[in-house]
Amino acid sequence: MAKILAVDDSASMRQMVGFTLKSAGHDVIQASDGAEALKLAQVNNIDLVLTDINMPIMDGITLIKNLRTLPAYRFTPMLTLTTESGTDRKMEGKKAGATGWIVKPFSPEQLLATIKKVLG
Amino acid sequence: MSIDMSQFYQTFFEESFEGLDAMESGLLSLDVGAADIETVNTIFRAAHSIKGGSGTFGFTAVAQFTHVMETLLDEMRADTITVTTETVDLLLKSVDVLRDMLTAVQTETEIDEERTIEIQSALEALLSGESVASSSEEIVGTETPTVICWTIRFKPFDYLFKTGNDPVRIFQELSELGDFSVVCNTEDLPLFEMLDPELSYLSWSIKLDGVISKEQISEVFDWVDGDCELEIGTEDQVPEKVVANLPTVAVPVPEPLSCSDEKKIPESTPLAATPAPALVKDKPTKKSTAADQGSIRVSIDKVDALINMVGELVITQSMLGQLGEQIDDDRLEKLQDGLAQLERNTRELQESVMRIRMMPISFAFQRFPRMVRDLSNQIGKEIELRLQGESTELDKTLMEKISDPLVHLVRNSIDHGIETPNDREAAGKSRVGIVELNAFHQGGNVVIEISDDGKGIDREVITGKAIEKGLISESDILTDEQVFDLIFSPGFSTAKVVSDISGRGVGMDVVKRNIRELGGSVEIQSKKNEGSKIIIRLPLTLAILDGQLIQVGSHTYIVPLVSIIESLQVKESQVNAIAGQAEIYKLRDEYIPIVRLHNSFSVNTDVTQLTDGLIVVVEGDGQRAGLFVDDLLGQQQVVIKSLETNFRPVEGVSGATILGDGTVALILDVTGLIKLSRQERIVAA
Amino acid sequence: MSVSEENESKTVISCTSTVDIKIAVELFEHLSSAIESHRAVEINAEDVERIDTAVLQLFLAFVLEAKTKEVSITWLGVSDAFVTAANLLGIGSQLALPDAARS
Repeated sequence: MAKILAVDDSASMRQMVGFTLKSAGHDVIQASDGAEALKLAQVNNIDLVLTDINMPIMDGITLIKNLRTLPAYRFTPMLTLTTESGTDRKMEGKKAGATGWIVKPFSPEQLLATIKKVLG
Repeated sequence: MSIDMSQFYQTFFEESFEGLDAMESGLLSLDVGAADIETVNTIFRAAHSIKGGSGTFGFTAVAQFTHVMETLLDEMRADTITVTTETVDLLLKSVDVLRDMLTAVQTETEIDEERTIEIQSALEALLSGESVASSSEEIVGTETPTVICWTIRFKPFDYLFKTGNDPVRIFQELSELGDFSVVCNTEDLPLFEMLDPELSYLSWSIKLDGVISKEQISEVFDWVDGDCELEIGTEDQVPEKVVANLPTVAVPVPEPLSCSDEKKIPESTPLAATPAPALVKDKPTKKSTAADQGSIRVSIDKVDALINMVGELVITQSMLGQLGEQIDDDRLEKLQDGLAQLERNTRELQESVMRIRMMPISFAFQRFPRMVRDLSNQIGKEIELRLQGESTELDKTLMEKISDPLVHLVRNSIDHGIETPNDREAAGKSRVGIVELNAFHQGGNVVIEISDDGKGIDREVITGKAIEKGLISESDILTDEQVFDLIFSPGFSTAKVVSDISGRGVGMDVVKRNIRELGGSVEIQSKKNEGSKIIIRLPLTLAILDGQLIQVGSHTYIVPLVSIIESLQVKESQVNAIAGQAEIYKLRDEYIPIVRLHNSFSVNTDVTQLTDGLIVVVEGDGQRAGLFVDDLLGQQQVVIKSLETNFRPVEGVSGATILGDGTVALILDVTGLIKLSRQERIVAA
Repeated sequence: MSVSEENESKTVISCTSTVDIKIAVELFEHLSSAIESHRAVEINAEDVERIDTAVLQLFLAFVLEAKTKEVSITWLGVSDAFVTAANLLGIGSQLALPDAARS
């Protein structure tokens, strides 16, 4: 169905997200840091970006900022995966151009429901 | 649909334990006076990852504990809590607790609640009064069973689409909450020619009826909070403007992280009141985790299967090689060239594949800084640990198995080798003792040296004890090496190395045995008052063995070279027969039992007279014996094939291999053989 | 989305299954030139499965403009998804979607 870019430096998170989304029929591309994700986004047509915030090399906020400068990604839905239930991290993401966020920990069902909401 | 998450647990545990190791080495390297921000960040990220993962996979206790650690680390990197020795120690203890918790979860055993609570409270106390933001926001507003008629006014700011949000999706969600009707307001829609298709100009007035709370409605607009005008009200009230959740003061946005790997270490820190140059070491800038670049995880089963296949390939190639020698033909030269090529390819492939299992010994060394620090604090000695040759590679399984013996040996150096600071000073040494771990390749082996500049081993003390225990007699003349070797005798060291980290008290004899079982050897060198050095030699890999081929009857056997002391022709005069059964051979000063292999294995052979054959003197587990064989054949490297998949273990045999001519040769286990022959003698008596 | 000009007098716009903000500018240009050259516009939205506010807003502005400029618009067909989205935004009637489709 949709091509989703999942970015997280935790392999177990990437696995869980990848598996969940694939079993719903989506195509998942994984990256373990923002720099890798940015490269992958430029050679693939991504429909949705899911990214953790705290990552080495390039964090999620910077990734989103950079993606938004690419013509193909001006309107693409981008969600941050954040464990903070406090507001500043979410708002930082939005300032950078994120569409919204998902709060960790989330269940596979919650993930799918949110994805469905965003992809229509 | 429910998804079984347990398939991801393995990876989560692996990466969490790695993360804990990273946290630990990061904490150990933190300079209390000038904490490197990049290090603190790395430690924070590791905790953050573990918290996220454990929450996702439902390990609530772990997540909660990690959350407190993470909060503390967050404050440290924001500089609102200072990095002190106490904080570092507490965090180190927390890492231990977390390790235990994860292990408990992984093995489905009980978590040590008391210790967890103790450390967690200490962490929370350190956060002193700052409320730990752990609980999720309370859902305010009770749901009454009555239907409410809501009116919602929504006007997105013009740039809304550029955030990836879309009113259609938002309204779709609203319509699922209750009865939905909408009126669109086009007053801000410009003339067509003036329209920018990528901006939003419309606004809406929505009626939503149902058993719905205000929170439910504002939740739908969560993501566009701050990017629109939003009013939610009921029919009988003036709709309230929904105040954006942003605090009106500017949200502190940390400096954007640049993409470059280098992070400038702050020149001056707010903590350095009185600079203490003596303590602040000059640290080289940290490189990004090199181990992570370009690597993938592969299950060890796959690697072993691959190694197995290559082993088979080596055998096949060797068989073909032998056949090639027997063919007479014009095309022989081409065939031989081909076979030579095959042999080169196979050897290269084998070496490459073996290297897959190799890992840098730094993985084994990394537990030592912490251990040495804790132990030296515990017993009041000052110790500097030096690690050399950390990039030296050895087989992963070997490394796992050598880890414990190494710990015991290092502990031994610290306990018995290094003197107390006062004693050292009195002896004219610096108060700080040095323990050095060094690893390098030599020949076909990995050599690990543990040296200390402590008080060394007193020969007299050892020999005295050995005589006391009846291991040697007063008249025995021994070289230094032999004397030090006595330390490894079973029952010798009564001073068991007590530890609370490993919880086991083990003697040096067990250490030596463990090393021997890996196909390695260990020796001690020492000089009184100057120090000692323990030298461990290990084979590069467990799958290949340097073996001596021996002939018994029509069978070929393999004796591991590492077990062989020497081989010799039998001198009739040196043979004694005791009480008619056991044959003893006098080898210089000692008597060793003769093991007639043709008897042990019930093989028919013409060579039954001792003088017609050869004796191979071997050593296993401190015991020596002379194996009586027909003849010695060559020496070669053999690929060890395990028999245990199809057969029960046989004492005296540790595996098998296939020789170049296609025959199977059993690989002998010297220790087992010796035991076996002793039992036979006892039975026969 | 594909656009064809059958003859001097009309423009046919056939929407593909996804019409969203990514093609908004392109769509805008086609609609603009149709209005400028006073060509009748026929829109086929039968295959639309995904559509967003940007495109619907565009169609709305176009329809309003076409009315004042007396350019004729014919909806050759509209998918359920199209209609649902238009109705969620409350612009179904303003778009003058075919009778059967309107809520």
